[in-house]
Amino acid sequence: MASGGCCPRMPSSSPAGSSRTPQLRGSGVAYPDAAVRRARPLLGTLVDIQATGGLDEPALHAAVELAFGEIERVHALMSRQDAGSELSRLNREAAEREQRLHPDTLAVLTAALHFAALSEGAFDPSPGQWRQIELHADRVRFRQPLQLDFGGIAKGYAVDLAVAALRRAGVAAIAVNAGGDLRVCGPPQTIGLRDPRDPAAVAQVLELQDAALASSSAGFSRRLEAGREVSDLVDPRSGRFHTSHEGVSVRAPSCMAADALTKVVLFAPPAVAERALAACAARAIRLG
Amino acid sequence: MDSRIVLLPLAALAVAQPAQALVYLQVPQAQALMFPGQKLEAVPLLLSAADVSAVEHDSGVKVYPGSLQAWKCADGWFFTDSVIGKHDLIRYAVALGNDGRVRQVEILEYREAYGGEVRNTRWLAQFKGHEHGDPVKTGSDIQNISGATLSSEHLADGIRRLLSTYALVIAGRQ
Repeated sequence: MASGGCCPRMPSSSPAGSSRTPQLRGSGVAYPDAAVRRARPLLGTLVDIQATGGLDEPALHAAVELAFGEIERVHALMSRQDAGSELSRLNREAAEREQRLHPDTLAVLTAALHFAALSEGAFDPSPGQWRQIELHADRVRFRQPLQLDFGGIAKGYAVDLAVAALRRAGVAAIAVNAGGDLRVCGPPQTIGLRDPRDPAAVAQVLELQDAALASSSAGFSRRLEAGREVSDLVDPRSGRFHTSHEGVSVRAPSCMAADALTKVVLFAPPAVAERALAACAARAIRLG
Repeated sequence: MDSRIVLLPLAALAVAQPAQALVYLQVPQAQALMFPGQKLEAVPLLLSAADVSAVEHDSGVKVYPGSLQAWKCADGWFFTDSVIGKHDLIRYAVALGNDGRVRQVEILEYREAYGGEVRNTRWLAQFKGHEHGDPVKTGSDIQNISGATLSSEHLADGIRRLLSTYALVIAGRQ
């Protein structure tokens, strides 16, 4: 599959039904009706997990706990707000001396640099400075002081980890949605695309099966600061705020790729974006 | 080669809105998940005017008397409360340990502010993936929404208000 070279160190994605926990399926009892849906505030948004079938209700709740545990670990490592997170430590110290990375942080940084190279800097975990980040095995050093921000990729990574945990537990149908960056497994699911002009409106619906969908737009972060229109989305190469109404949604095999590629489609020249999408077996919609 | 990017002019869309109203957990379910096997006892919270103004001053968040409900058990406290944002209403549960630290937060209910029907799926034919087929389906039964993130800041405000209420009002009474 083409995504192999695109997404280094992704959580394993065995096909649904080939669960590695046969003991949970050995009873011969199916639980077609059991369904659990829960949500917690994590990664600066609401993370919603749906787990249906394959297990009874208490086991579904236990599987959802495990999945939230994966997301909470990513949150604790990669929060910019928390001075105690690994990301905050890197931003304080990695320009001074080499820092060892937790395997999750290593996976996200490796992927982020991969997407930065693939998109010629249109995706950049440290706007305009990704070439100043040196990775050696599980250690990182910044050639100059810079601020890493995994805001454009960590949510997708966390969603992939949560999906993998639910699969390992034997859940039949899965949807994990971290504030609009989502991934589904099992039967097809109906997904609404939010209208970038109107936060309460859905512009369109589509059906998604065993795939991820992520969206970016300046949307509701557009605001005036000191008489200038700004937003949470910045073109890493020009430093300009993205303040148009345009939104981008990307479907990809993994949520991490979908998450990162939304920024590539927004900011890269069309030929670069097409190449990056093809390398990840992904497709995009521009709403604008 | 055909493009992997489909352009969809927003002006062409007949925009409509789904009413997202999700109930994740009932209160007894949340209690059983957050404090398994424990007996929880409701504790009436009567906030005086002075309590309300102290909590508002400390947390910077407006207090709506009667919104916060509390239960006590051997391992700590269980609370439910709601916050209303610009676009949504969130009702949530918080488990605190006896040390006053947050053990867990679970969303009980999430409601978006508007509702309606989704139309116009013609353009979707263009997005049909060669790998998956993506059959077009109209309107109903949207299970998830992808799109610009709604801020969950007001939920963080609500949790800060709850922790102020615990520290300033509840912990002192025990």
